[in-house]
Amino acid sequence: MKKLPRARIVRPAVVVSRRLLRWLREWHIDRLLTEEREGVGRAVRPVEPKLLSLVGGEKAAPVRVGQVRLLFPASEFSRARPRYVAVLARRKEGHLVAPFGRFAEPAVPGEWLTGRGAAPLRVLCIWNARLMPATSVRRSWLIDNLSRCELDQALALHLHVSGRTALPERTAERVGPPLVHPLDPRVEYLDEEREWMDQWTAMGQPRGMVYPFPPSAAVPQDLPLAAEKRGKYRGKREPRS
Amino acid sequence: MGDWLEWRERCALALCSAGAQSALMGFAAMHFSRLTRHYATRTNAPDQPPQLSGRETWHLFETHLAVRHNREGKRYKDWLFARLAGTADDELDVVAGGAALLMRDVVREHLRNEHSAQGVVSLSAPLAETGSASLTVEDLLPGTIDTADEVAKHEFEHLALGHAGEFFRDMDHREKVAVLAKSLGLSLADPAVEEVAGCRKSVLNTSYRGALERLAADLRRQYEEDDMQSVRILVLMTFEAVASLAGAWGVSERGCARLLSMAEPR
Repeated sequence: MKKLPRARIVRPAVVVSRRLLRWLREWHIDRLLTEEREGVGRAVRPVEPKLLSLVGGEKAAPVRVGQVRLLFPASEFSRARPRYVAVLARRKEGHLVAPFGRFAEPAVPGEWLTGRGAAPLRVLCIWNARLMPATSVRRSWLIDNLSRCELDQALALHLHVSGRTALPERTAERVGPPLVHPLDPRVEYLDEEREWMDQWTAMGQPRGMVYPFPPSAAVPQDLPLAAEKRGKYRGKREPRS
Repeated sequence: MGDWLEWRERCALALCSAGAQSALMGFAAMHFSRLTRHYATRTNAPDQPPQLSGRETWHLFETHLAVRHNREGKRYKDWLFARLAGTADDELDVVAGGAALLMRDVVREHLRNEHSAQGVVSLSAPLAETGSASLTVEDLLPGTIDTADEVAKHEFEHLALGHAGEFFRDMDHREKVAVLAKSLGLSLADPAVEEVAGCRKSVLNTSYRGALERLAADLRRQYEEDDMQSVRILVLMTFEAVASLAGAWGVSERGCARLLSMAEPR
Protein backbone atom coordinates (compact mmCIF):
# COMPACT_ATOMS: atom_id res chain seq x y z
CA MET A 1 0.00 0.00 0.00
CA LYS A 2 1.36 3.44 -0.95
CA LYS A 3 1.83 6.09 1.69
CA LEU A 4 1.55 9.84 1.34
CA PRO A 5 4.14 12.12 2.95
CA ARG A 6 3.00 13.86 6.11
CA ALA A 7 1.94 17.43 5.50
CA ARG A 8 0.59 20.35 7.48
CA ILE A 9 -2.79 21.07 5.95
CA VAL A 10 -4.63 24.35 6.20
CA ARG A 11 -8.31 23.49 6.23
CA PRO A 12 -10.91 25.95 4.98
CA ALA A 13 -12.92 27.70 7.66
CA VAL A 14 -16.20 25.96 8.41
CA VAL A 15 -18.03 29.18 7.59
CA VAL A 16 -16.59 29.02 4.06
CA SER A 17 -17.59 25.39 3.56
CA ARG A 18 -21.06 26.13 4.88
CA ARG A 19 -21.40 29.02 2.47
CA LEU A 20 -20.52 26.71 -0.40
CA LEU A 21 -23.03 24.15 0.83
CA ARG A 22 -25.77 26.78 0.88
CA TRP A 23 -24.85 27.98 -2.59
CA LEU A 24 -24.88 24.42 -3.94
CA ARG A 25 -28.29 23.84 -2.39
CA GLU A 26 -29.69 26.92 -4.09
CA TRP A 27 -28.11 25.99 -7.41
CA HIS A 28 -29.57 22.51 -7.17
CA ILE A 29 -33.04 23.90 -6.51
CA ASP A 30 -32.61 26.26 -9.44
CA ARG A 31 -31.65 23.39 -11.75
CA LEU A 32 -34.59 21.29 -10.64
CA LEU A 33 -37.01 24.14 -11.22
CA THR A 34 -35.62 24.91 -14.63
CA GLU A 35 -37.76 23.41 -17.31
CA GLU A 36 -37.52 24.52 -20.86
CA ARG A 37 -37.04 28.27 -21.22
CA GLU A 38 -40.71 28.83 -20.80
CA GLY A 39 -42.07 32.17 -21.87
CA VAL A 40 -38.71 33.77 -22.67
CA GLY A 41 -39.56 34.17 -26.33
CA ARG A 42 -37.28 35.51 -28.97
CA ALA A 43 -37.51 38.94 -30.46
CA VAL A 44 -38.92 38.40 -33.93
CA ARG A 45 -38.86 41.89 -35.30
CA PRO A 46 -36.91 45.07 -34.59
CA VAL A 47 -37.68 46.02 -31.04
CA GLU A 48 -36.59 49.64 -30.89
CA PRO A 49 -39.66 51.74 -31.67
CA LYS A 50 -42.07 49.72 -29.58
CA LEU A 51 -39.60 49.19 -26.78
CA LEU A 52 -38.86 52.88 -26.49
CA SER A 53 -42.55 53.66 -26.28
CA LEU A 54 -42.98 51.02 -23.58
CA VAL A 55 -40.10 52.19 -21.43
CA GLY A 56 -40.65 55.90 -21.70
CA GLY A 57 -38.87 56.87 -24.89
CA GLU A 58 -35.59 58.68 -24.58
CA LYS A 59 -36.19 59.84 -21.03
CA ALA A 60 -33.81 57.30 -19.51
CA ALA A 61 -31.65 58.88 -16.80
CA PRO A 62 -28.04 59.65 -17.75
CA VAL A 63 -25.50 57.07 -16.65
CA ARG A 64 -23.45 57.95 -13.60
CA VAL A 65 -20.99 56.06 -11.43
CA GLY A 66 -22.66 54.39 -8.45
CA GLN A 67 -26.02 53.81 -10.11
CA VAL A 68 -27.95 50.56 -9.94
CA ARG A 69 -29.90 50.01 -13.15
CA LEU A 70 -32.33 47.45 -14.56
CA LEU A 71 -31.67 46.62 -18.20
CA PHE A 72 -34.46 46.96 -20.74
CA PRO A 73 -35.64 43.53 -21.95
CA ALA A 74 -34.27 44.15 -25.42
CA SER A 75 -32.48 40.82 -25.95
CA GLU A 76 -32.91 37.21 -25.00
CA PHE A 77 -30.37 37.88 -22.26
CA SER A 78 -32.42 40.58 -20.61
CA ARG A 79 -35.82 39.03 -21.37
CA ALA A 80 -35.14 35.82 -19.43
CA ARG A 81 -35.03 37.58 -16.09
CA PRO A 82 -34.64 41.14 -14.81
CA ARG A 83 -30.95 42.00 -15.10
CA TYR A 84 -29.71 44.50 -12.56
CA VAL A 85 -26.28 46.04 -12.96
CA ALA A 86 -24.13 48.45 -10.95
CA VAL A 87 -22.07 51.17 -12.62
CA LEU A 88 -18.70 50.98 -10.87
CA ALA A 89 -16.50 53.41 -12.73
CA ARG A 90 -16.13 55.55 -15.80
CA ARG A 91 -13.16 54.95 -18.04
CA LYS A 92 -12.07 56.27 -21.38
CA GLU A 93 -13.43 53.14 -23.10
CA GLY A 94 -16.79 53.25 -21.34
CA HIS A 95 -18.49 52.47 -18.06
CA LEU A 96 -17.36 49.59 -15.91
CA VAL A 97 -20.56 47.66 -15.20
CA ALA A 98 -21.04 44.59 -12.99
CA PRO A 99 -24.18 42.45 -12.91
CA PHE A 100 -26.00 41.36 -9.77
CA GLY A 101 -26.46 37.62 -9.30
CA ARG A 102 -29.70 35.79 -8.65
CA PHE A 103 -28.62 33.74 -5.65
CA ALA A 104 -28.47 34.63 -1.99
CA GLU A 105 -24.85 33.55 -1.56
CA PRO A 106 -21.74 34.59 -3.48
CA ALA A 107 -20.49 31.68 -5.61
CA VAL A 108 -16.78 32.48 -5.96
CA PRO A 109 -14.22 34.92 -4.56
CA GLY A 110 -15.14 37.36 -7.34
CA GLU A 111 -18.70 37.68 -6.04
CA TRP A 112 -19.53 39.95 -3.15
CA LEU A 113 -22.36 39.85 -0.65
CA THR A 114 -23.58 43.43 -0.61
CA GLY A 115 -25.50 43.20 2.66
CA ARG A 116 -28.65 44.48 0.99
CA GLY A 117 -31.93 42.83 1.88
CA ALA A 118 -33.57 43.16 -1.54
CA ALA A 119 -33.28 39.78 -3.25
CA PRO A 120 -32.22 41.08 -6.68
CA LEU A 121 -29.33 43.09 -5.18
CA ARG A 122 -27.82 40.70 -2.64
CA VAL A 123 -24.76 39.57 -4.61
CA LEU A 124 -22.65 41.64 -7.00
CA CYS A 125 -20.67 39.62 -9.57
CA ILE A 126 -17.50 41.64 -9.93
CA TRP A 127 -15.73 38.91 -11.91
CA ASN A 128 -18.28 39.36 -14.70
CA ALA A 129 -17.83 43.16 -14.96
CA ARG A 130 -17.52 44.69 -18.43
CA LEU A 131 -16.65 47.98 -19.98
CA MET A 132 -19.75 49.15 -21.82
CA PRO A 133 -20.46 52.28 -23.84
CA ALA A 134 -22.81 54.70 -22.12
CA THR A 135 -25.33 54.30 -24.93
CA SER A 136 -25.71 50.60 -24.08
CA VAL A 137 -25.87 51.14 -20.33
CA ARG A 138 -28.41 53.88 -20.80
CA ARG A 139 -30.93 51.40 -22.19
CA SER A 140 -32.04 50.70 -18.64
CA TRP A 141 -34.06 52.10 -15.77
CA LEU A 142 -32.35 53.84 -12.89
CA ILE A 143 -33.32 51.91 -9.76
CA ASP A 144 -31.11 53.04 -6.92
CA ASN A 145 -27.59 54.18 -6.03
CA LEU A 146 -24.77 52.39 -4.26
CA SER A 147 -23.59 54.08 -1.11
CA ARG A 148 -20.04 55.45 -1.08
CA CYS A 149 -19.03 52.54 1.15
CA GLU A 150 -20.61 49.95 -1.17
CA LEU A 151 -18.93 51.46 -4.18
CA ASP A 152 -15.54 51.52 -2.43
CA GLN A 153 -15.84 47.87 -1.46
CA ALA A 154 -16.94 46.84 -4.94
CA LEU A 155 -13.99 48.67 -6.48
CA ALA A 156 -11.60 47.16 -3.94
CA LEU A 157 -12.79 43.70 -4.94
CA HIS A 158 -12.46 44.61 -8.60
CA LEU A 159 -8.84 45.61 -8.04
CA HIS A 160 -8.27 42.39 -6.16
CA VAL A 161 -9.84 40.23 -8.87
CA SER A 162 -7.58 42.03 -11.34
CA GLY A 163 -4.67 40.78 -9.24
CA ARG A 164 -3.51 44.24 -8.30
CA THR A 165 -4.21 44.40 -4.58
CA ALA A 166 -4.87 42.22 -1.57
CA LEU A 167 -8.47 41.92 -0.51
CA PRO A 168 -9.46 44.15 2.41
CA GLU A 169 -10.45 42.06 5.44
CA ARG A 170 -13.99 43.40 5.71
CA THR A 171 -14.62 42.51 2.06
CA ALA A 172 -12.95 39.10 2.37
CA GLU A 173 -15.61 37.96 4.80
CA ARG A 174 -18.28 38.62 2.23
CA VAL A 175 -17.01 36.90 -0.89
CA GLY A 176 -17.60 33.36 -2.15
CA PRO A 177 -15.50 30.26 -1.54
CA PRO A 178 -12.47 29.44 -3.71
CA LEU A 179 -13.04 27.34 -6.82
CA VAL A 180 -10.47 24.56 -7.10
CA HIS A 181 -12.20 21.39 -8.29
CA PRO A 182 -12.86 20.83 -12.00
CA LEU A 183 -16.17 19.05 -11.34
CA ASP A 184 -17.50 21.79 -9.10
CA PRO A 185 -20.99 22.82 -10.34
CA ARG A 186 -19.92 26.45 -10.06
CA VAL A 187 -17.91 25.98 -13.26
CA GLU A 188 -21.18 25.48 -15.14
CA TYR A 189 -22.76 28.44 -13.37
CA LEU A 190 -19.85 30.72 -14.31
CA ASP A 191 -20.03 29.59 -17.92
CA GLU A 192 -23.73 30.38 -18.06
CA GLU A 193 -23.38 33.78 -16.46
CA ARG A 194 -20.47 34.74 -18.68
CA GLU A 195 -22.45 33.69 -21.72
CA TRP A 196 -25.40 35.83 -20.68
CA MET A 197 -23.18 38.85 -20.31
CA ASP A 198 -21.42 38.08 -23.59
CA GLN A 199 -24.80 38.36 -25.27
CA TRP A 200 -25.26 41.83 -23.86
CA THR A 201 -21.78 42.89 -24.78
CA ALA A 202 -21.94 41.35 -28.25
CA MET A 203 -20.93 43.21 -31.40
CA GLY A 204 -17.25 43.77 -30.92
CA GLN A 205 -17.20 44.24 -27.18
CA PRO A 206 -14.75 42.26 -25.05
CA ARG A 207 -15.89 38.77 -24.12
CA GLY A 208 -15.98 37.64 -20.53
CA MET A 209 -13.08 36.32 -18.57
CA VAL A 210 -12.52 32.64 -18.18
CA TYR A 211 -12.60 32.15 -14.45
CA PRO A 212 -9.06 31.21 -13.35
CA PHE A 213 -9.15 27.45 -13.35
CA PRO A 214 -7.36 25.29 -12.48
CA PRO A 215 -5.92 27.84 -10.08
CA SER A 216 -2.27 27.02 -10.49
CA ALA A 217 -2.55 26.82 -14.27
CA ALA A 218 -3.97 30.30 -14.55
CA VAL A 219 -3.28 32.59 -11.67
CA PRO A 220 -5.66 35.56 -11.42
CA GLN A 221 -3.10 38.26 -12.13
CA ASP A 222 -2.34 36.69 -15.50
CA LEU A 223 -5.93 36.68 -16.63
CA PRO A 224 -7.84 39.45 -18.32
CA LEU A 225 -10.88 40.70 -16.53
CA ALA A 226 -14.13 40.62 -18.39
CA ALA A 227 -13.91 44.37 -18.51
CA GLU A 228 -10.54 44.42 -20.18
CA LYS A 229 -9.49 43.71 -23.70
CA ARG A 230 -8.97 40.00 -23.95
CA GLY A 231 -5.37 39.23 -23.15
CA LYS A 232 -3.53 36.05 -23.84
CA TYR A 233 -4.69 33.21 -21.66
CA ARG A 234 -1.97 32.57 -19.13
CA GLY A 235 0.03 35.27 -20.81
CA LYS A 236 0.47 38.98 -21.06
CA ARG A 237 -2.45 41.26 -20.56
CA GLU A 238 -2.89 44.27 -22.74
CA PRO A 239 -2.10 47.38 -20.76
CA ARG A 240 -5.00 49.19 -19.24
CA SER A 241 -5.19 52.83 -20.10
CA MET B 1 -54.56 41.23 -19.92
CA GLY B 2 -56.78 43.84 -18.26
CA ASP B 3 -56.00 42.44 -14.81
CA TRP B 4 -52.27 42.84 -15.34
CA LEU B 5 -52.67 46.38 -16.69
CA GLU B 6 -54.83 47.31 -13.72
CA TRP B 7 -52.21 45.98 -11.31
CA ARG B 8 -49.51 47.93 -13.07
CA GLU B 9 -51.47 51.16 -13.00
CA ARG B 10 -52.74 50.92 -9.42
CA CYS B 11 -49.38 49.85 -8.06
CA ALA B 12 -50.61 47.41 -5.40
CA LEU B 13 -52.92 44.44 -5.66
CA ALA B 14 -55.01 45.68 -2.74
CA LEU B 15 -56.00 48.72 -4.82
CA CYS B 16 -57.22 46.57 -7.73
CA SER B 17 -60.78 45.44 -8.37
CA ALA B 18 -61.96 42.22 -6.76
CA GLY B 19 -61.89 40.49 -10.14
CA ALA B 20 -58.29 41.46 -10.85
CA GLN B 21 -57.21 40.49 -7.34
CA SER B 22 -58.78 37.10 -7.69
CA ALA B 23 -57.29 36.48 -11.12
CA LEU B 24 -53.75 37.50 -10.16
CA MET B 25 -53.75 35.65 -6.85
CA GLY B 26 -55.06 32.61 -8.69
CA PHE B 27 -52.24 32.93 -11.20
CA ALA B 28 -49.63 33.15 -8.44
CA ALA B 29 -51.06 30.21 -6.51
CA MET B 30 -51.30 28.05 -9.62
CA HIS B 31 -47.66 28.62 -10.64
CA PHE B 32 -46.39 28.29 -7.08
CA SER B 33 -48.17 24.98 -6.75
CA ARG B 34 -46.98 23.77 -10.16
CA LEU B 35 -43.35 24.57 -9.39
CA THR B 36 -43.27 23.18 -5.86
CA ARG B 37 -44.92 19.96 -7.06
CA HIS B 38 -42.44 19.77 -9.91
CA TYR B 39 -39.60 20.13 -7.41
CA ALA B 40 -41.09 17.50 -5.08
CA THR B 41 -41.43 15.05 -7.96
CA ARG B 42 -37.86 15.54 -9.09
CA THR B 43 -36.49 15.08 -5.58
CA ASN B 44 -38.73 12.08 -4.86
CA ALA B 45 -40.09 13.87 -1.83
CA PRO B 46 -42.33 11.49 0.14
CA ASP B 47 -44.95 14.15 0.88
CA GLN B 48 -46.68 16.74 -1.21
CA PRO B 49 -45.24 20.19 -0.41
CA PRO B 50 -47.47 22.38 1.75
CA GLN B 51 -49.30 24.85 -0.44
CA LEU B 52 -49.79 28.55 0.21
CA SER B 53 -52.88 30.59 -0.50
CA GLY B 54 -53.18 32.92 -3.46
CA ARG B 55 -52.74 35.92 -1.19
CA GLU B 56 -49.60 34.46 0.38
CA THR B 57 -48.00 33.55 -2.94
CA TRP B 58 -48.77 36.96 -4.42
CA HIS B 59 -47.21 38.56 -1.36
CA LEU B 60 -44.05 36.47 -1.88
CA PHE B 61 -44.04 37.47 -5.54
CA GLU B 62 -44.17 41.20 -4.85
CA THR B 63 -41.79 41.22 -1.90
CA HIS B 64 -39.18 39.07 -3.61
CA LEU B 65 -39.04 41.24 -6.70
CA ALA B 66 -39.24 44.74 -5.27
CA VAL B 67 -35.91 46.46 -4.70
CA ARG B 68 -37.38 49.43 -2.86
CA HIS B 69 -40.86 50.58 -1.91
CA ASN B 70 -40.97 53.45 -4.38
CA ARG B 71 -41.75 53.35 -8.09
CA GLU B 72 -38.07 52.93 -9.05
CA GLY B 73 -37.81 49.90 -6.82
CA LYS B 74 -40.72 48.25 -8.60
CA ARG B 75 -39.46 48.66 -12.13
CA TYR B 76 -39.76 44.92 -12.63
CA LYS B 77 -43.37 45.70 -13.50
CA ASP B 78 -42.20 47.89 -16.37
CA TRP B 79 -39.78 45.13 -17.31
CA LEU B 80 -42.68 42.68 -17.55
CA PHE B 81 -44.59 44.92 -19.94
CA ALA B 82 -41.58 46.06 -21.93
CA ARG B 83 -41.09 42.40 -22.89
CA LEU B 84 -43.98 42.99 -25.30
CA ALA B 85 -41.64 44.80 -27.64
CA GLY B 86 -40.34 42.83 -30.56
CA THR B 87 -42.50 39.76 -30.18
CA ALA B 88 -45.38 38.60 -32.28
CA ASP B 89 -46.79 36.50 -29.44
CA ASP B 90 -50.07 37.19 -27.75
CA GLU B 91 -49.71 40.06 -25.26
CA LEU B 92 -51.22 38.16 -22.35
CA ASP B 93 -48.93 35.21 -23.05
CA VAL B 94 -45.88 37.46 -22.99
CA VAL B 95 -46.74 39.21 -19.72
CA ALA B 96 -47.96 36.04 -18.00
CA GLY B 97 -44.94 34.14 -19.36
CA GLY B 98 -42.63 36.75 -17.86
CA ALA B 99 -44.45 36.58 -14.55
CA ALA B 100 -44.15 32.78 -14.59
CA LEU B 101 -40.39 33.15 -15.05
CA LEU B 102 -40.26 35.48 -12.08
CA MET B 103 -42.33 33.05 -10.04
CA ARG B 104 -39.60 30.46 -10.49
CA ASP B 105 -37.20 32.78 -8.63
CA VAL B 106 -39.82 33.25 -5.92
CA VAL B 107 -40.25 29.49 -5.49
CA ARG B 108 -36.48 28.94 -5.47
CA GLU B 109 -36.17 31.45 -2.64
CA HIS B 110 -39.04 29.82 -0.77
CA LEU B 111 -37.48 26.35 -1.09
CA ARG B 112 -34.09 27.72 -0.08
CA ASN B 113 -35.59 29.08 3.10
CA GLU B 114 -37.35 25.78 3.73
CA HIS B 115 -34.04 23.91 3.38
CA SER B 116 -32.25 26.34 5.68
CA ALA B 117 -34.85 25.58 8.30
CA GLN B 118 -34.17 21.87 7.99
CA GLY B 119 -30.83 22.20 9.72
CA VAL B 120 -27.21 21.31 9.21
CA VAL B 121 -25.97 18.89 6.56
CA SER B 122 -22.62 17.12 6.94
CA LEU B 123 -19.78 18.53 4.87
CA SER B 124 -18.61 14.99 4.19
CA ALA B 125 -21.97 13.79 2.87
CA PRO B 126 -22.20 13.11 -0.88
CA LEU B 127 -23.91 15.97 -2.68
CA ALA B 128 -26.67 15.41 -5.17
CA GLU B 129 -26.02 19.04 -6.10
CA THR B 130 -22.73 18.15 -7.77
CA GLY B 131 -24.25 15.64 -10.18
CA SER B 132 -21.88 13.01 -8.77
CA ALA B 133 -22.67 10.20 -6.38
CA SER B 134 -19.47 10.64 -4.41
CA LEU B 135 -18.40 14.32 -4.40
CA THR B 136 -18.63 16.14 -1.09
CA VAL B 137 -18.02 19.72 0.01
CA GLU B 138 -14.74 18.47 1.47
CA ASP B 139 -13.73 17.29 -2.01
CA LEU B 140 -14.59 20.69 -3.48
CA LEU B 141 -12.76 22.57 -0.72
CA PRO B 142 -10.05 20.28 0.59
CA GLY B 143 -7.76 23.01 1.92
CA THR B 144 -4.12 23.47 1.02
CA ILE B 145 -0.72 22.36 2.18
CA ASP B 146 0.73 24.95 4.53
CA THR B 147 2.96 27.25 2.50
CA ALA B 148 5.67 26.88 5.16
CA ASP B 149 5.72 23.12 4.58
CA GLU B 150 7.82 23.36 1.42
CA VAL B 151 9.18 19.82 1.61
CA ALA B 152 5.75 18.21 1.79
CA LYS B 153 4.45 20.44 -0.99
CA HIS B 154 7.31 19.42 -3.24
CA GLU B 155 6.76 15.74 -2.48
CA PHE B 156 3.06 16.03 -3.26
CA GLU B 157 3.81 17.79 -6.55
CA HIS B 158 6.26 15.06 -7.46
CA LEU B 159 3.72 12.35 -6.69
CA ALA B 160 1.01 14.18 -8.62
CA LEU B 161 3.20 14.47 -11.68
CA GLY B 162 3.94 10.76 -11.61
CA HIS B 163 0.28 9.78 -11.25
CA ALA B 164 -0.74 12.24 -13.94
CA GLY B 165 1.81 10.83 -16.38
CA GLU B 166 0.59 7.28 -15.86
CA PHE B 167 -3.03 8.30 -16.12
CA PHE B 168 -2.57 10.48 -19.17
CA ARG B 169 -0.97 7.64 -21.13
CA ASP B 170 -4.15 5.61 -20.71
CA MET B 171 -6.59 8.38 -21.56
CA ASP B 172 -8.34 8.13 -24.90
CA HIS B 173 -8.35 10.88 -27.53
CA ARG B 174 -11.77 12.17 -26.56
CA GLU B 175 -10.80 12.53 -22.90
CA LYS B 176 -7.59 14.33 -23.77
CA VAL B 177 -9.44 16.78 -26.01
CA ALA B 178 -11.99 17.42 -23.27
CA VAL B 179 -9.32 18.15 -20.65
CA LEU B 180 -7.41 20.33 -23.10
CA ALA B 181 -10.51 22.32 -24.03
CA LYS B 182 -11.44 22.85 -20.40
CA SER B 183 -7.94 23.93 -19.48
CA LEU B 184 -8.07 26.46 -22.32
CA GLY B 185 -11.37 27.81 -21.02
CA LEU B 186 -13.32 26.52 -24.02
CA SER B 187 -16.82 25.16 -23.77
CA LEU B 188 -17.25 21.49 -24.57
CA ALA B 189 -20.30 22.60 -26.55
CA ASP B 190 -18.12 24.63 -28.90
CA PRO B 191 -18.46 23.17 -32.42
CA ALA B 192 -14.70 23.28 -32.90
CA VAL B 193 -14.15 21.22 -29.77
CA GLU B 194 -16.82 18.73 -30.86
CA GLU B 195 -15.16 18.41 -34.24
CA VAL B 196 -11.68 17.77 -32.85
CA ALA B 197 -13.06 15.24 -30.36
CA GLY B 198 -15.23 13.57 -32.98
CA CYS B 199 -18.30 13.49 -30.80
CA ARG B 200 -21.11 15.66 -29.45
CA LYS B 201 -20.93 17.76 -26.29
CA SER B 202 -22.98 15.33 -24.19
CA VAL B 203 -20.57 12.47 -24.91
CA LEU B 204 -17.64 14.80 -24.35
CA ASN B 205 -19.01 15.95 -21.02
CA THR B 206 -19.48 12.37 -19.92
CA SER B 207 -15.93 11.54 -21.01
CA TYR B 208 -14.51 14.50 -19.12
CA ARG B 209 -16.38 13.77 -15.94
CA GLY B 210 -15.71 10.04 -16.23
CA ALA B 211 -11.97 10.52 -16.63
CA LEU B 212 -11.66 12.77 -13.58
CA GLU B 213 -13.84 10.54 -11.45
CA ARG B 214 -11.81 7.50 -12.50
CA LEU B 215 -8.58 9.28 -11.58
CA ALA B 216 -9.92 10.34 -8.18
CA ALA B 217 -11.23 6.85 -7.41
CA ASP B 218 -7.93 5.34 -8.45
CA LEU B 219 -5.95 7.63 -6.12
CA ARG B 220 -8.36 7.04 -3.24
CA ARG B 221 -7.85 3.31 -3.71
CA GLN B 222 -4.07 3.58 -3.81
CA TYR B 223 -3.95 5.70 -0.66
CA GLU B 224 -6.90 4.30 1.23
CA GLU B 225 -5.01 4.14 4.51
CA ASP B 226 -4.01 7.80 4.37
CA ASP B 227 -5.72 10.83 5.76
CA MET B 228 -8.57 11.67 3.35
CA GLN B 229 -7.78 15.39 3.44
CA SER B 230 -4.29 14.71 2.11
CA VAL B 231 -5.64 12.39 -0.57
CA ARG B 232 -8.13 15.07 -1.71
CA ILE B 233 -5.29 17.55 -2.09
CA LEU B 234 -3.26 15.02 -4.07
CA VAL B 235 -6.28 14.43 -6.31
CA LEU B 236 -6.54 18.14 -7.12
CA MET B 237 -2.82 18.46 -7.75
CA THR B 238 -2.99 15.46 -10.07
CA PHE B 239 -5.93 17.00 -11.94
CA GLU B 240 -3.82 20.09 -12.52
CA ALA B 241 -0.86 18.05 -13.69
CA VAL B 242 -3.12 16.18 -16.13
CA ALA B 243 -4.37 19.54 -17.48
CA SER B 244 -0.76 20.65 -18.02
CA LEU B 245 0.05 17.42 -19.84
CA ALA B 246 -3.02 17.91 -22.03
CA GLY B 247 -1.76 21.40 -22.87
CA ALA B 248 1.62 20.06 -23.95
CA TRP B 249 -0.05 17.24 -25.90
CA GLY B 250 -2.30 19.74 -27.68
CA VAL B 251 0.70 21.66 -29.00
CA SER B 252 2.03 18.60 -30.82
CA GLU B 253 -1.37 17.19 -31.85
CA ARG B 254 -2.18 18.49 -35.32
CA GLY B 255 -5.94 18.71 -34.91
CA CYS B 256 -5.67 20.72 -31.71
CA ALA B 257 -3.97 23.79 -33.19
CA ARG B 258 -7.38 25.31 -33.82
CA LEU B 259 -8.34 24.97 -30.16
CA LEU B 260 -5.09 26.54 -29.02
CA SER B 261 -5.58 29.46 -31.39
CA MET B 262 -9.08 30.00 -30.02
CA ALA B 263 -7.58 30.67 -26.62
CA GLU B 264 -5.32 33.36 -28.08
CA PRO B 265 -6.31 37.01 -27.93
CA ARG B 266 -8.87 38.05 -30.52
